[in-house]
Amino acid sequence: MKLVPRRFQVPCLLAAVALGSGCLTTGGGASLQSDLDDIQQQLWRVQKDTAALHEKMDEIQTESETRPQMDPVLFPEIDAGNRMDSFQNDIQILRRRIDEMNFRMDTIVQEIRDTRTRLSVLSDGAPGESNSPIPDRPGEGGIVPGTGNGAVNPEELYQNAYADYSKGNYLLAVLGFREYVRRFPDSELADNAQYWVGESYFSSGDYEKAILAFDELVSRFPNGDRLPTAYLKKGMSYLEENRTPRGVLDLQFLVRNFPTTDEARQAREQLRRLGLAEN
Amino acid sequence: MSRNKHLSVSLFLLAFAVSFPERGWSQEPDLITGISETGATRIHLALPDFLAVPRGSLLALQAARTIHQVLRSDLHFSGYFDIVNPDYYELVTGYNERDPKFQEWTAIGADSLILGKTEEVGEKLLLEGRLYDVPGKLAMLGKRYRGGVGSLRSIAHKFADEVVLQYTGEKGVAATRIAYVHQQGSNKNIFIMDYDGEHQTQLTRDKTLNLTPAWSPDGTRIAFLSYRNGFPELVILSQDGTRVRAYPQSGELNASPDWSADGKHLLFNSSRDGNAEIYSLRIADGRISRLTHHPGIDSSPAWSPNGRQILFTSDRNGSPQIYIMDAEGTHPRRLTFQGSYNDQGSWTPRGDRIVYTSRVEGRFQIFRIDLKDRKPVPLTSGRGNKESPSWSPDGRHIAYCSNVTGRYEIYSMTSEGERQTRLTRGGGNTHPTWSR
Amino acid sequence: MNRPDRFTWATILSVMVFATAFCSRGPKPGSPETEAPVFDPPSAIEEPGEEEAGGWTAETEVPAETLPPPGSSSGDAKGVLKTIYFDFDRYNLKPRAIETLNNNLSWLKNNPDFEIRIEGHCDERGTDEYNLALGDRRAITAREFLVKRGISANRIRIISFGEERPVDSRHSNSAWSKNRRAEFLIVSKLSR
Repeated sequence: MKLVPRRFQVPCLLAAVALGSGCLTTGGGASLQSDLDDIQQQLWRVQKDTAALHEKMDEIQTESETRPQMDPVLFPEIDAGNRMDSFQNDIQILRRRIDEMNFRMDTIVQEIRDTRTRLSVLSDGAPGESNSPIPDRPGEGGIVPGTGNGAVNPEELYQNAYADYSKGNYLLAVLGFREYVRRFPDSELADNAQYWVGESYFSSGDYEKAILAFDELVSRFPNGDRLPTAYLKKGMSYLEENRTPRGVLDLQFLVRNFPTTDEARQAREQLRRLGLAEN
Repeated sequence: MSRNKHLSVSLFLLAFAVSFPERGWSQEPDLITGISETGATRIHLALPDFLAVPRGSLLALQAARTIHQVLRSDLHFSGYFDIVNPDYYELVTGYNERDPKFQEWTAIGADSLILGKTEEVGEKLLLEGRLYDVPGKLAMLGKRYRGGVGSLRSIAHKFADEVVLQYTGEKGVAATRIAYVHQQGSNKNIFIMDYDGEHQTQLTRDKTLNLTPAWSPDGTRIAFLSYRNGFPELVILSQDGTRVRAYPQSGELNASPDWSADGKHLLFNSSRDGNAEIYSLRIADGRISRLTHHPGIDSSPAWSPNGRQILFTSDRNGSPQIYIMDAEGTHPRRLTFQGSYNDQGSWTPRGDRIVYTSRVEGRFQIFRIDLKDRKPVPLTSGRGNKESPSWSPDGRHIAYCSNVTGRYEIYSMTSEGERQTRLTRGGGNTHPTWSR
Repeated sequence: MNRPDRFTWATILSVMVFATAFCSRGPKPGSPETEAPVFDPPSAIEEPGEEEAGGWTAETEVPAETLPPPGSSSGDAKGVLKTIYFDFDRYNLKPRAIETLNNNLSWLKNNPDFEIRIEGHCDERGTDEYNLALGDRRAITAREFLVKRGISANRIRIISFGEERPVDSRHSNSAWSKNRRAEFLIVSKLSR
């Protein structure tokens, strides 16, 4: 690995994506996973870049506002008119770069999605998936060996999705946890994964999709231990969407059916703040 | 100890980009990008002495030396650069900003070159710094700063951060600061210093205890625990030491504040309802939400960078261990399983790693957990305690305190535990927190 | 109130000890920059960078004037209310602590006009944050014991000092066991 100035990073990133896709046809699941990790890392960097560009634009805008009052003696080499022109120019360039970045970011997300799909198609053919040992909790035992024919380590899939969530890559987290639920629907962590799908949407502010995901959790895992949390978050999502009556129903349902949980406590607090009774 | 209160306030900075032609995105597709976390491959940077004009200006010469030296140590600290041996610089002759002599710098193995000039202009000093990509033969960055003698270090820090930004897309940490607790007799006060241990400044001057400082994300305020009124209360202080606000409670615990990334909430630890629990305080209106409900001890709360998760310590399973919960206080899940005493969890600004303090063979050491594999990695070992880890804003460094020399001092190290460097002297220095 | 003399004496004494404790917690002479490291022997003038400057386990005698002040009732005969002690990282009451608490309880019952403060402390081996919570919890445990046995909760205030106010600032088992404690201070006489 060699450091290069950041303006070279995006093309390289695309090269890396291409490299990653290239591997799909030949490489094994483990290397794919690490390619994906790399791509995600890159994506994160592009996101940071975009944010930095935005910041720079703001900076330039403020500068362009303050600059004309500056002492011309200090900076004789630039007269006010030229400065303004050059700032406008800079802003335009930066705008173009941000557009470019956004476009590239979309492309990369699409690439990752495709790769994930292909990854799962590849490993669908892998034998013995249904009786793979599943870890009781992430971080201990139950590793399915990634033996080149595309077998996916459930623990890794789960943890990667969780790491994405923690990094704020909510979209990637949704993809990962969805994948987990799809591939390991009977595992102990499946309901947790479905919870995280909802929580990722919730965290990204997409409350509509969060509600759907929590609904799915309720219908698919009616005995799961994430149920009270799902009702709470669903209720909160409705409140965020200004659909208060629906939200209140969920919160009251939670308080009635899971009265001793922490979630019920939170729900009571929410209801109290709305000036409503518990049921 | 130098005390420059006006450090950044008095600093009159003018920076503008010297316009250089931009290279297109699509060029150089064959380059592989990326910086390994360990910084295994570094940029070979040539950093010749800065020019001082006018000739014979002692002020300019001194400034050139100071800025050069600070810049050098900042860039070294960043972990992205190896400074090319200065002995070779004399092989390159006759270079200036119009003709940097890229060929000759290439010949001595430089990937990157910084040329600097200081100029005495009236009462003020002018610094021009330029960064060149040597193999690419192009100028990457040009900055001009203007300021007084007192702001030399901070000018160097700012330029260093710009240089790092060029290579990583992320500002360096040279202009960041560390708040910490300094013991004076049986009293403890809050101090702040530059990230390299310079400019140590006393913030509180109480004859009592002030503990567990936490920066606001914009770096303008510090929240901490104060015993000034005889009982523990949360206090928010502005950077010049003015009390902004206090959140008094009668005699109960009120500790370990942590500021959310959006600056709107403070997590803290309180026994206001009869037992140590985690609470969230909305700063705008003082509304307090209780997040944990457990008869055991819940303490040491810390936000995740995106504000959606909270780290905390709890003895709900018998010994202090670190847990994660959703921002609403729901869905608590245990993070640490190794060791019988884990506390002081801190989430990297990048979101994927957590550092914490763990008791090993009777001593505290700093550990790191990557959320991807959840394996605890020891970053320190050996004699003495290492405590209170705090991430630098770029997630590449960790400040902590240790009594390895017999007294507590503040140190920094990389996120891999390398290059452990002492930042303070004199003892009694604990609980560093790195500004965002 | 059959023996007012004795109570007056006890109050004065407690207040004095309390006051002394607080005074000596006050400022050290000298500028704010004066550093008086508690954990260092006075002879330690070598640069802190040097490795041989004493390990954490070294049991160096600390001169009395740098010792933090002892609590007002640290087990000596003068204190009316006795200190209770805890195991490392624990806040449950040991038999001996219960015995002491029962004595404190009867004093509180016999002297209903007094308000007390329970201070929770820890040894230095924990982390600062957790120790603040642990000290608090130790004080709470003691308060709960007393409240359950009929002492009004509003006569008891609690405060945690974490590991900040050791009785014995040496780094030894015996020092640590002295520091893991809850102290009982008579704060004021309730006005009725």
